[in-house]
Amino acid sequence: MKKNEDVQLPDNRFWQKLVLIMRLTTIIYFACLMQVSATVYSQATKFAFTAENKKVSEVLKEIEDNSNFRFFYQNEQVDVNRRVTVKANDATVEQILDKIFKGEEISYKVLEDDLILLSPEKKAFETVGEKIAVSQQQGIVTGKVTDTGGQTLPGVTIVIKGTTRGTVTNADGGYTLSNIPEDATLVFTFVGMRTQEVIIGAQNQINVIMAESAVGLDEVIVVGYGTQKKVNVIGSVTTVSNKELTAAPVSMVSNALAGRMPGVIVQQMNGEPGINMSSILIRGRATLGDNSPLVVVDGIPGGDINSLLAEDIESMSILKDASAGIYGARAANGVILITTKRGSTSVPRFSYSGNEGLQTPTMLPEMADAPTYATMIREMLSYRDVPEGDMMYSLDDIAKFESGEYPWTHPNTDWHKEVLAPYSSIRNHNISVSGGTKNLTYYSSFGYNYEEGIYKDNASSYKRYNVRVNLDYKINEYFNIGIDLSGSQINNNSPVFGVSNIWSRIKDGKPTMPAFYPNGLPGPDIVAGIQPAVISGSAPGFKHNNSYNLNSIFTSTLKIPGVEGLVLSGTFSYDQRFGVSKSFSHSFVLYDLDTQEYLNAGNTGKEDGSAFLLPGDRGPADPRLSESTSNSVNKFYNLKLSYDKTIADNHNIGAFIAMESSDYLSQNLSAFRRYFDSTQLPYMFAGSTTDWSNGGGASNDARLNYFGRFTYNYKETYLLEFTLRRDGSIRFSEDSGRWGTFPSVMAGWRVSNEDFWKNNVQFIDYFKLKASFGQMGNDAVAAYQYLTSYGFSTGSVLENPRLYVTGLAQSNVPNPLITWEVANVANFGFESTLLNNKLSFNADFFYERRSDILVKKNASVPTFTGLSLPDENFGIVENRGFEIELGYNERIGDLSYGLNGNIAYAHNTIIEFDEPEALEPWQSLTGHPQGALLLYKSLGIFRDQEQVDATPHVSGARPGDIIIDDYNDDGEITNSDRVIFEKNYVPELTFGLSFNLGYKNWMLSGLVQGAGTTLKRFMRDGGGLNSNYYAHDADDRWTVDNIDATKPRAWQRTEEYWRSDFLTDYNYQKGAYARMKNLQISYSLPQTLTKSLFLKNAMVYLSAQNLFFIFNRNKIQDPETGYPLGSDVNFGQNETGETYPIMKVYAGGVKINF
Amino acid sequence: MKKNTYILIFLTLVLVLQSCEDPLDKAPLDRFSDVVVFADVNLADKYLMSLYNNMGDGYSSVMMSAMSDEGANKRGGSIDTYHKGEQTADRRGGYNSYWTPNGAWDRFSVIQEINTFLANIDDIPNGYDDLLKPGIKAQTDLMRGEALFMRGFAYSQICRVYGGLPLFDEPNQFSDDFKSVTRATFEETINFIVSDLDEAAQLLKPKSEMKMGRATKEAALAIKARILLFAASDLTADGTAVNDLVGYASPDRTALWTAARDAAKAVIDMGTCELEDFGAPDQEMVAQKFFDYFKARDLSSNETIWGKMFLKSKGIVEGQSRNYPNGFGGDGRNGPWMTMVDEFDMSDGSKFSEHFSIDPSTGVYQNISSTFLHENPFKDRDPRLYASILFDSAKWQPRLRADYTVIDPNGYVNTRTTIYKEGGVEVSKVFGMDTRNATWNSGNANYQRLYTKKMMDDQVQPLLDGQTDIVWIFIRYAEVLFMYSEACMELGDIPTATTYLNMIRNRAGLPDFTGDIREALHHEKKVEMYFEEQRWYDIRRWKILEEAFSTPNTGIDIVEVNEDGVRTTTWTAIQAAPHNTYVASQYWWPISATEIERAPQLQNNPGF
Repeated sequence: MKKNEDVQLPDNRFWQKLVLIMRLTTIIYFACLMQVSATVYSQATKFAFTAENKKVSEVLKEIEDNSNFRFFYQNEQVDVNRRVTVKANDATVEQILDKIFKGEEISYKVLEDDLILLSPEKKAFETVGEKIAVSQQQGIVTGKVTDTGGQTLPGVTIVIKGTTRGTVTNADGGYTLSNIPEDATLVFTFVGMRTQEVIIGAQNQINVIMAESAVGLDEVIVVGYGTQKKVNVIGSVTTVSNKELTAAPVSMVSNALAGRMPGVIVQQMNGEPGINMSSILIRGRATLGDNSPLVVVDGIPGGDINSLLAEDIESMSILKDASAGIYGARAANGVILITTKRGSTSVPRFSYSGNEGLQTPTMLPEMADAPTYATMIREMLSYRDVPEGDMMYSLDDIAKFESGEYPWTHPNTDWHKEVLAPYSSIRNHNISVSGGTKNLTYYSSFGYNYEEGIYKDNASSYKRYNVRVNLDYKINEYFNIGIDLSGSQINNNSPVFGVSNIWSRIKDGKPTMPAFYPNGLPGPDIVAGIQPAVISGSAPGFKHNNSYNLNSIFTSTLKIPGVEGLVLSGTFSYDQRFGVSKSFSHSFVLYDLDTQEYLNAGNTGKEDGSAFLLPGDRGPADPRLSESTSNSVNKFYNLKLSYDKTIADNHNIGAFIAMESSDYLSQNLSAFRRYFDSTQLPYMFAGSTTDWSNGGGASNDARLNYFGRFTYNYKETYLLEFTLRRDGSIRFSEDSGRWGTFPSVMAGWRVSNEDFWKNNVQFIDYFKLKASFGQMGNDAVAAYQYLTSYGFSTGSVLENPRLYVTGLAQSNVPNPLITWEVANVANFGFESTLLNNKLSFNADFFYERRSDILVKKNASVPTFTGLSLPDENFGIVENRGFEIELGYNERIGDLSYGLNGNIAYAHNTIIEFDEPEALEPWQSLTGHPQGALLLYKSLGIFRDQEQVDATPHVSGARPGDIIIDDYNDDGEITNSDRVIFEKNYVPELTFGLSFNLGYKNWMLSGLVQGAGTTLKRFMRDGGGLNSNYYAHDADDRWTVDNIDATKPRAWQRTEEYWRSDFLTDYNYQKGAYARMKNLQISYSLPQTLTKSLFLKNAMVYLSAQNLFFIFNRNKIQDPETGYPLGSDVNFGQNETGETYPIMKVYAGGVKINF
Repeated sequence: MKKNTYILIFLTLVLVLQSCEDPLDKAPLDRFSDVVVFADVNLADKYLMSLYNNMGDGYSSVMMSAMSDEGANKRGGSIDTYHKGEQTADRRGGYNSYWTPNGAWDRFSVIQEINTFLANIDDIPNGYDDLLKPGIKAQTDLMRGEALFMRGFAYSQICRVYGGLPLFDEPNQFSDDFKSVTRATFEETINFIVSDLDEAAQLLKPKSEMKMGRATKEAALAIKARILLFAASDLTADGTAVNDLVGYASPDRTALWTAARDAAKAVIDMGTCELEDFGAPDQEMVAQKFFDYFKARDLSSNETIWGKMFLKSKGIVEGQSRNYPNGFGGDGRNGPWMTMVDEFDMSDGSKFSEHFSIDPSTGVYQNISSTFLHENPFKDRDPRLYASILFDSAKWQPRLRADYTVIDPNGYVNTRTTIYKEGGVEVSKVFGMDTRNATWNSGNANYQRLYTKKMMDDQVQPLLDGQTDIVWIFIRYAEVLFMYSEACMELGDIPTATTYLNMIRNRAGLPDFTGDIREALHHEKKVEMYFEEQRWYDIRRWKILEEAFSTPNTGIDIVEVNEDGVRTTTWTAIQAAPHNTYVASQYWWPISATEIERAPQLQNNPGF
């Protein structure tokens, strides 16, 4: 029957089917075709060129220019001035060399890192390691060259000063030189390293450690859609190396960034495993809306920095100014470019690195102890005229708390100590293999990160597995394709009760209540079933959050035959994320001491009360299970045509045009069951169908972009770059606002290339001026605001028996005109190196005016209209600041040291937003930074009634209350007395200082990081009968005996005016700090030892993160804790910071290559 | 080789062309577009479901009771800005939940939603086949009635707080100019509301014919009676209103009272509502059934005119633990003053003050009765006291804390201090588990040492799961009888007023009232409708705010001394919070300073 149908297939269906087959075919082809960016040079390169009667040196240069190969030879051994004629067509380097040196008795050997050694045949090149046993002979020197991290360096050129004689190090970094004249000096040079000179003297073994030069002038860095030599970069671009990223023993890459890059504000908000990533702001807050930067991983925008394995990252570049402009509509908040490692032609190279660590909170708020707390409660009650007989704690009680001898009735509980373990573990392990043949290179890795929660009874952990395979195939001389597959699995377990609940309850925990009785059973709940020592564990159930991510990138580069420099490349990526979360909660048991019976039995509080403990159920009476899954797919296409050409040796031209599109779809399902008969089977089927529910939903997103870039430089001295991007987003309507065009232009002048400079300012080796201006966009707002649409909402319960019907409600009032927010960014700066490249000094100054910011006009549209407002393009914010970097690196003999500091400042000002006319002129927030606080100003503490009477005060004020400044001098405290405090939770000033000190195999390196003053609210609504006071508030508080106090009297929750309606700056803590962010000491095992262990090299180290504060203005908590930096905290709102504390980590680890 | 290359280039371009077909041609996946919703009667009905949900309920952490002289919401010892008489437009105090004074103004959003619905609902039948049109039209007419009812209800709630309002009968547009929108006069506002409710009453069917929970004819008529009674009262109609935003310029009192009376009578005349039988004269049964009435899960009682239902399985619940005594794991909010307890009569219908006096210097309750000889002032009272308020020794629910269960196996509220003495010397002193001196959760005890019982679910255990699905009643028949009685009384028809007032007293198991009818009515309504969002509007419209706010904010201190086998208990009134301060501006709530900044043309209420 089916055959019949096939035969009778109508024409149009046939064509449809054909088109479908074609589509599928193209997609399969496409997978093999596209390529992202040529960050790695393929080694299995084939050459096509014709050299007629050219010098050997020129041919070799031709090969070097067109590949990653480098040749090493000694002039007296290899005659490179000989003229040859070579025709290569699809020839490998070996074939070419065979031709050139045919009959010349020159042999060649391809080493690791694409190094080719040329030496006279038979007399094998002295460096090739086999015959090092020679040595004692006069005039022979052997040795080994390593970098500061202990890695051996192959390919280092060693020349006897004043001669043309020399050699290069072999694959193991070893070298041998013979026939060395007396008093000779060896000069060691290597790309990216500082040149070193060593006087031989009587030594016959010289091991050298090469230090990186202050500025790797030849360094190539990743910029948007390509790479550039660092000297040619004219944008404000900062990079972080793999070494810096892996120095910190942390599981989230973002936590390794703080202090490393000027202008990048990084703060870790909390320490909870799985959500302890840092929040990142580039050059502060420039918009009233979303300030988060765009993350691009291997060319694919929208990546997640924290699901990557730090060791996989080759480099990270931050684009801060118009250099981000090539990312158009998503670039306004800056761009973070991440490139992962790729393989190179070599034998398989294995490397393992791992560390095991312990972590403990950096800083916990100290709480009042039992006698202090009870005393404060007595004081508080006395201010409310409670008679002695009705006091909650008698003086006798306080004596008992103090004595500590009555643990059953008068405990003195330190809740932090009872709930938290002293240390929790953290571990990071990973192994990678890379290498390749002529046609295929690979990098593959496996990583494992684990972090454990700090609770004594711990239900919190984070586990991540990463796997990655980056493959590059060279199909032929025209085609390269790359296939990158990477995946991660994240298993995040947490307590059923929210973390903020646990941490606020720890602080609420009265020290006069037991967390555990002396016999180890858990004490009563602090409020409604919540006992932090128990709910932080697994007794109330479990909560799992797992996600499975698969990222695949297919790239291809096609050199268009016949047109040199013209390359077509494409990328297709397919990312899938699958999330499963599951939460199962049930009742648990807490114990109450039957105090009355216990005392009646003649006990005093000292005697064992186990017999009087009564168990009771807490938490939901019936077990409940919630489960949800989400599945999202992001597809990304990119096609790019580029052309690079050097005209007349000096005019370097580069250009490309490209298009890109992406498509995102996410779907989810959720279900809930309760009334489980048993907690044994926490699965859906075992729950009851009574009161069950199921749900699900979907969301989508898409983008389409066209863009291009033109770069030109003359002799690498005059540099010019122009980019243009046109972006379309479904966030905005097709009729208006969908498409945005974003141009940027950058210019640079490498002044130090000019003759006048060379002749006059010799101590400055390198100096480049740069300027840029660009327009970039931001579209991080809710989609479809241009449409009138109706969403599902809470409905009503109707009928008898009751039936729930969902509701439909208008989602928003449409704004058909909604469009991009635009950043106009100007940057001016210079880069320089001085004193033989030992000192580097760079600075950038920026000014940004963000306009058309999408904000709601809540302040001018009256509430009585009933309109729920859409975002409108009208806000304006100015942001300006600077970044300065200064570095010095030096090496004297076996000793090397370096010091690199950076400091950045960014200050924003609201120029226009929708603000109601301020009550008083000094209260208008326009003209101040975002997040500025509107508070009363505190002037100290009323010492006595006399002072209260003589000072304008809030009605009901009494001695011990906070004195509020009568700002407008009208004799009373009203709203008009509030003033603006510009400092807020986002630091304006940030700095980092990294240092390293190396001696022989030892290396000490560290990072000091910090921020200028912030204001954060760490005071809580607590304190009083319900919860404990901070020890900070107890010390030097006002009492009748201490009237000249610096802190106010004991209070009850928010009942005092200065704790509710009249918040003052007293309620905020200053947060300037500098901390030893990272400190590491490492030892590279001597070669003799590693050899015997069959290792190439090995290093052991001890590393610590967040080690200590150099200074800290915050007296209560770690100053970094709080809200994410970019979050839209309302003006004058509170940041209470009831979060899991930030951890300090001590770890020991090894790095091995074999 | 080259050939292959060109094929690959070609294929790449084909693919690119395909991929840029238009990836941006997408629609949202989580919502409907305008056209769909108002083209389908079923979707339009779902829109209505959202509107019903937006009618809110009174179960917020700060309940309206605390606005009046019934009780307090603060667990602490202070009172808020409003009661202190310190309110200004930029420091209004108060809370933002549903129909609480601040929240009410925010509910203009509901009016906007209703107006959007009304602007579209009549077009729906046009999209259907001619054959179906009449049926659909009948449905949409009914839905129009429901929406008009909700608009009338919403406006009446806002009007009772603020007076005259900006009136909208069409949806506002984003692009409209709102600078010229001003408040309508109080009279115009009342007329607008009444006209909505009249039309709604025309379109709606009686409760028995509507699905439970939807608007009904009875509800439209009853809400109309409520707003007309409000309008006819002294506050707005005694001719002394400061301006026409907060009262009638030249009120015709008789006409206003007549309108109110007739509106109430219209509900009564429908004959579909009746007072629930609580088992009078069995006072114990009345106490139980009166309490049970408010614990209903549905609106089937004929006394319930309109309310809101909840359903646990859909998570449509109200957190109740907030009003529970602290010793039961509650938050102790929204408790009554002791003066509220004193308002309840004795079980024989006589005034409490005839039997107990409060020593003005010590606050001690002294029995001066010849009929009730015990010293406990909580004994032998109006059965509704036992259904409405939790006081020391009132039975509540089993305690969950194990050590408390040992002391109190049956779950009685305990706010007394028990002192044991031997030979005149105190040997021990035990504080009540539901006081601020308790060993556990003490900060959640209130200062009055009195808790609310009405509208609480004794099946809910805050330590396990503090949520309930008992109904919220917007309006019940007893209120209609009060309204009718009051309007008749004001029109001089004392016999009818008496009859209807006594219906309520008798139902509660109490004899007919004695004495002045106005005083009796004020008293009876305070007691019967305690906690039901009546009192604050009543004391304002009766213009007795000064008197109501002059009563002391008291609680009760109970001390039991056991000495040599003799137990002596004293009940002492204590000051639980500072006195209220009356100022004339307390009669109307101020529009917030922020709103006035957005719309400077708005005239604020007197005193602001």
